[in-house]
Amino acid sequence: MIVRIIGEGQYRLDDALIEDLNALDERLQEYLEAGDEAHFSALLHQMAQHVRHRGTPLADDELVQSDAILPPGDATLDEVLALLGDEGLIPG
Amino acid sequence: MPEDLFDILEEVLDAASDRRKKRDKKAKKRARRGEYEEPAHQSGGLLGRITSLFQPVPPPEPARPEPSPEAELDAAYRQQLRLLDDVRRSIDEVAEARRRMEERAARNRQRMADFEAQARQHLIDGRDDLARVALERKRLGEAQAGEFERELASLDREHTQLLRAEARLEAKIEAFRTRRDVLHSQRASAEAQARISEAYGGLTEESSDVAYTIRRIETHTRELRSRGAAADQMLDEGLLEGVEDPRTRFDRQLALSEVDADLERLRRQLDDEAGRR
Repeated sequence: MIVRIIGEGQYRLDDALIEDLNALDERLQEYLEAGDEAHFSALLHQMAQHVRHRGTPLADDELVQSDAILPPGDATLDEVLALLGDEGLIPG
Repeated sequence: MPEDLFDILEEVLDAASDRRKKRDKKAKKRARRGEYEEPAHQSGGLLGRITSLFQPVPPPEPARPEPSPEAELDAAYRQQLRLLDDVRRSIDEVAEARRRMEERAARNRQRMADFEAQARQHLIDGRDDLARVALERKRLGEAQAGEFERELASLDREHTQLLRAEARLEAKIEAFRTRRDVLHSQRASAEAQARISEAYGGLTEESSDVAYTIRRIETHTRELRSRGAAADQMLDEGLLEGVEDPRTRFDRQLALSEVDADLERLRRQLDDEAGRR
């Protein structure tokens, strides 16, 4: 499985870790919906750390799409909300 | 960090581990029966929503025979080169923001030295009240020096982040160009078409990441610029009331006692000097 951390790059993770990521993702979504900034930021930071520690960085010249994309580890709740409401992120 | 976060992480990851064990057990049973099982995939949660924003939807078909796939790929290639220019421009802007921040930090250091000299002169003139004001301003300058250090560190991180983004994008553009050239020479090859299609998806995702990162960093440097200009002007004019004080109430109280200590220190210095004369 390939996971991208925005602003940082892509990591290759063991497929078995998808369960962990999905479970954390669900919790992250709950914090986002509840507007719980403290838990949201802390969990997002931990998720990014989890990906960095458990994954292997992809070579710069590898051209593959990610299975999951994580916001920057230091993103605020407002930034992620803005990102979700964003249009036209893909150039062109 | 919330104190309960590690408990939450443990709970969430334990639950995920239980689910994985159950799934593995079922998979083994199915394998024994010779049945196929779909692999686990990323759910459509928050990450799924963000992922869909960064990837081409609907999937592009740059390799289809009509209209000219070469023209589409060339256009995509040129677009990425323009984005690379944007990254380089942004690198220059962050470097410029850092230079300005260093200048402000140097001006702040000079101001602190000036306030110290003013306080000293006021004490000589017997104006302890004015000496105290000058020393309070000096303490505020010291608090701001801490802010400058944090901002400089953050600009350094952003500069490094952009340099990495430039290297990644450059490498990916080059890899994409190679595959495009292969496709140009083997137009009919289904394998080449599949590879360029995959490469296009990967490049689009990287471009979206880079574009978002540039925008995020530019927002930060713009904020720094406007905050810095306003604070500089007010400090230069001595209008301290309007300046955002980075200290907490506790720090401010601490600073007041430090101002008293500064006053005492200056008085002792002046007494020593008078004694020597």
